[in-house]
Amino acid sequence: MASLASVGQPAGHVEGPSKVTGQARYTADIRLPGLLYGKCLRSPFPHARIVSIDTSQAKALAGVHAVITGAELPDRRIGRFFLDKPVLARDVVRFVGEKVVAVAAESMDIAEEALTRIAVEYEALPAVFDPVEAMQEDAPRVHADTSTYTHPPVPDFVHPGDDRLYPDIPNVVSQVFYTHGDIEAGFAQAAREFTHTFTIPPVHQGYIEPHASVVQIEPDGKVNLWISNKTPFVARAQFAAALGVAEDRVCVNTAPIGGDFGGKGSLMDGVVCYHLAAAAGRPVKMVMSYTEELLAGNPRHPAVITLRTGVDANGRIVARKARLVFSCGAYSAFTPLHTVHGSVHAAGPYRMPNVEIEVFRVYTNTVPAGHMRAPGAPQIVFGVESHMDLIAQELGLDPLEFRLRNTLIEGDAAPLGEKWKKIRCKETLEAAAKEAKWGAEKTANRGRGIGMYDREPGAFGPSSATLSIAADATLTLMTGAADTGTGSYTILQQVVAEELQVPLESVRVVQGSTDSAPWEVGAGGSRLTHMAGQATLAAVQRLKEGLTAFAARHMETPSEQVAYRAGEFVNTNGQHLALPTLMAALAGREELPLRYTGEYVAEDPMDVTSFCAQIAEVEVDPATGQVTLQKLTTAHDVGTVLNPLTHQGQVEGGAIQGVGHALTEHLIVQDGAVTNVHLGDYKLPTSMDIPELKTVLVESDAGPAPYAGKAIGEHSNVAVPAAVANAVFDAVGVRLMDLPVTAEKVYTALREKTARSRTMRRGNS
Amino acid sequence: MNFEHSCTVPVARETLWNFLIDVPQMAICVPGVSEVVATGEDQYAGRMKITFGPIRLTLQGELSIQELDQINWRAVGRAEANDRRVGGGVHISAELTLVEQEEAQTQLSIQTEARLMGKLGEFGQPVIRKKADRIVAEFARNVAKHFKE
Amino acid sequence: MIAFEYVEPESLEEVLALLEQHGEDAKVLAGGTGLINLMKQRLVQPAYLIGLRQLARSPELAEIRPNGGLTIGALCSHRTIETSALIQHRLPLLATTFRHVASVRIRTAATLGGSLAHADPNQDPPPALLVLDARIRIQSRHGAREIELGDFFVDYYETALEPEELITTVVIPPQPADTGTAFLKFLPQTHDDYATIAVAALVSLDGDTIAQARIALGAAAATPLRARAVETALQGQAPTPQVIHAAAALVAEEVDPLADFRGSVEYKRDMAVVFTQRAIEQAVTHARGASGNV
Repeated sequence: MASLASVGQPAGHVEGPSKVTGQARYTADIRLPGLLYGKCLRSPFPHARIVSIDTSQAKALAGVHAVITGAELPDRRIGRFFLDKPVLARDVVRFVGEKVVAVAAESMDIAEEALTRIAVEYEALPAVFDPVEAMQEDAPRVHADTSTYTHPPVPDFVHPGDDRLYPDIPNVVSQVFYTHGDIEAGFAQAAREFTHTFTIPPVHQGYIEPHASVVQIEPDGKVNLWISNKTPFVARAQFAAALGVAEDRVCVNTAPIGGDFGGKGSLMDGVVCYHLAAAAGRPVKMVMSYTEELLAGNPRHPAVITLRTGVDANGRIVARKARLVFSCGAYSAFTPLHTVHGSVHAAGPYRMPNVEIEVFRVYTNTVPAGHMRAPGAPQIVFGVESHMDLIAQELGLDPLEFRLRNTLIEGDAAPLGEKWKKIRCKETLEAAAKEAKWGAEKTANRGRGIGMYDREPGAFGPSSATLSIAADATLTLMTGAADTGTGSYTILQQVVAEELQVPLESVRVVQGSTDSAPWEVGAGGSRLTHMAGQATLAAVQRLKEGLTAFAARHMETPSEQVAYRAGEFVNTNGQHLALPTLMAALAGREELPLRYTGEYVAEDPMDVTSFCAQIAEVEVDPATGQVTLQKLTTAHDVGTVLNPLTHQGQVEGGAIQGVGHALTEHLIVQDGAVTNVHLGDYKLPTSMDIPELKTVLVESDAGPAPYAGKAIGEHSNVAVPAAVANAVFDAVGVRLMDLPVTAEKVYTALREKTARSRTMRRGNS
Repeated sequence: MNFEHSCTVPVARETLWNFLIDVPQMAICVPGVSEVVATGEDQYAGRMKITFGPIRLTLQGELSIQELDQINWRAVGRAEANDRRVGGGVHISAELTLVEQEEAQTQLSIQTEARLMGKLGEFGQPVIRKKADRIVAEFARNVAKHFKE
Repeated sequence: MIAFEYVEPESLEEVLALLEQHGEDAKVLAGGTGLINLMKQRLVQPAYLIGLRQLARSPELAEIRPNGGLTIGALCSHRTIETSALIQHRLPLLATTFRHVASVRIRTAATLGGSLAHADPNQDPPPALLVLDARIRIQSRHGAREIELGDFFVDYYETALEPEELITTVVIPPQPADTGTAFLKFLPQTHDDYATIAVAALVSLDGDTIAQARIALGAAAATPLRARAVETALQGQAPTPQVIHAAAALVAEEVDPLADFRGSVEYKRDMAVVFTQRAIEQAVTHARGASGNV
């Protein structure tokens, strides 16, 4: 490939300075004339019938402009795929934290005061919190009748499975089978079989910006919405459907997003905010507190994962049966798909000819689960990679050796039959092992553990971008996709600058509202560098073609004799025409700025994936159980790295999120309620908790993004919990089957182990 | 949140039973409780003050007797109380069981289930649990003390 | 938050007069790291909030002064104490302890007096101050009194401070010779967390025997506490591993921890023993190499 000028440079985030200087105005910062503040009264019960609601005293409070209950709203359920969630609870509450009454007032304090004057009488109903229990015949039903709930068809970009929506199993939202090969024949070939079950609690995305919404209704009924949502066009469609109006009656305006990690894809408070604005006749803003976020956000699905694996006499995997049970909480509304699609990773990046994966999403009376960075994958990979080590241990094999015998290599079909080009799985694992000094001697109580994962670049939904050039030749790229902090604007800026051979800073990137930008699915699923990148390439191509025609006319040369080169046009006579000169000449003659829109739809399915191998090195204090993560090596099979700075930011940010998932983060649910409802009690890792981090990039040239790039956003967070748990076992011989790996759990397990070995010694003597 | 307490009261079972089902009298043994009045059959209203450090709660609420089963010496009561200023409250269900130990010696067992509502649920749950646990323990002690004196 | 009147008096006298006047309806605001959270949660609703900002230059309230031992003004921030050259030189134990509190942002705002009055038993400074035999100077319009820090803490978030009183200074007496100290904060989760268990130890040696031992724990009961049984068991003994091990084991009976997100009662009790032993060992090592500093 020719050497690149802008692409490949460590360019800082284009929007970075405005964020770090406090100039960025997030949704929560928006002020409008007459703005009111909305707050919701939430259910204290996990499952109860609403007997009565008395809002009279709240309505009587000075400064209160609207008080609404579910019964006053149209009976229209909302959601991203399944439409199963009422805007405010109607008749029944199904989780602690469910919105019951909404208030809009002149200040947040008045709104809070009004909430204290609302009396709700509840009658408690039997509740179920565990997804496996919820599937039993005698379990309480979270939803008495799901027959009226609607949903669109299952989209075709997801891995094809046998999809059963609302099957005849108590509380089950979806049951999906992914199969390849012949599972029974596979187990028949097995010399040994292993079955293990793992449990993963819910975790919160931990973004800094809590969900916020602002709604302003214009006199003609047009609705302006500002919302912490990374997919504005999708949000517009869902919002319009929730209101029962046409999409063009809604404009989703832009505001920076203060962190997403998968959690900013829903309408959250948007619809209730609209109803408050409609009732009050004034614009309304709602900002969730972090307590509300932890109590009633849309955390990662908790899961119970059972894996059964057959291995032949040579330590090669011949069959894998997985049963994955995810609790989706009280509503399924917060996920964009019918199932948890990370489930396809239940076989891992290993060669196994016979696979059957059965996935359940199950209603429980707990906080509704949503999407989080690589949805489903960290839960499953914790199981898969712990299971790999457990098998290796039983077989008397080194965990690295066992994996090397089974990793996919060039030419292999993936476990569910996908045919990947340029498989770099083994190379990535070997690179990680080399960097982490696998096999090197360790001091006492030190251990190393491996975790592996693979993920293909996001390739769904159309993307588009509009590149415009103004009279003064300034270039502006407008995208409809939000930059959630990943650096997507910067990547797009680099693509334009590269293609036009102009300095980076001469290209502005802006996000357009849904009224001004071309339609775009938005951020999510590791898709933007690929999809928006290709759409931007297409826009640049159109601009070049359009301007070449104008230049040819101006230079009185046939188009085919004019070429674009670094900010100017040159014809075969050696005549030069600088872009500013051309644009000045066009002023007055053409409608400026000139706009060129590029569109892109991916070819399906993807023919490449990316592998990730991670090795954790821990030290365990046997007297306390404390696990100190000393070093984390993360190796990635990458395509062309378009921006090493933002790429590394994704690698490191993800790895640290994985460290939190491994060691400290979990929503502690008691009697159905999240109890650690402050960031003082829900422990996100801080800068002081970061181990030595080593990144190894295994370069490949097969990516679908511009310049053969791949995706990196949802890779490094996934396998860390498994790597840490495996390292703890290597260090002190204690195996944890549930997350997080806390000191107390390790301590307790160590004491049990000591007690067991004492008993055995006594038995032997 | 669930709590279990028991204490031994130096009095015959029937005497203790009669004392406990006289709600205004019994309620005085709950630390911080005042102004308990009957509002209907087996229905009472009252107030309870709880302080910990700078936090001072005044819970105004209602108490009702759900079950009086003298055959098994078992009583179940339910209370709902709110602090309107704070915007939170508690729902409590308590089951009292009396077991005769010797002639003038009865064991009182209290099983309590409490649910925190609103803002109260946002304060550190472990500390509230400890506080609630202490209140029930002190109630048991006060009942015992009532008959010792 | 509920409406309140905010006043920022210019002098200590005015603060004390306002406290006298408003009693329980008033709250004093220093760094605000504890109180403001409680107010936002509506759990504390003072009618009057008395800001101490104008007293930030008061020598009594805001300075660290040598005085045989040391006096530390109640308005000194945690960060000031942590970085004070005088403290680092004379009482390195305190500099170390304050460095363990939360994050630098919190330490810059939170004050010594404010954190003591907040009386959260999970805080780091109280155990260290307890082993230094710190006393606390309290003032009201009717005069001043000085009490031992150990008598100041009454219960979770409860102290001996009356509504009309203000903490003005913390007084640290001179420490015995040949003394070594240690502060250990067990942080199995993140570095900005409260301790799962915290132990401060002070040991002074007389030749080969322990002349004096003071051990205190945080996050171990309703209040920070001195582990008297452990201290007694060490007194007059040679600091052998066996003696230390046996003495540390006694702490299990002295603590009464709360089960919370940082651990169960049983785990915290076991950890109290582990960290008491480690803190004593460290203090003894430091005492052996002592240069006279604590």
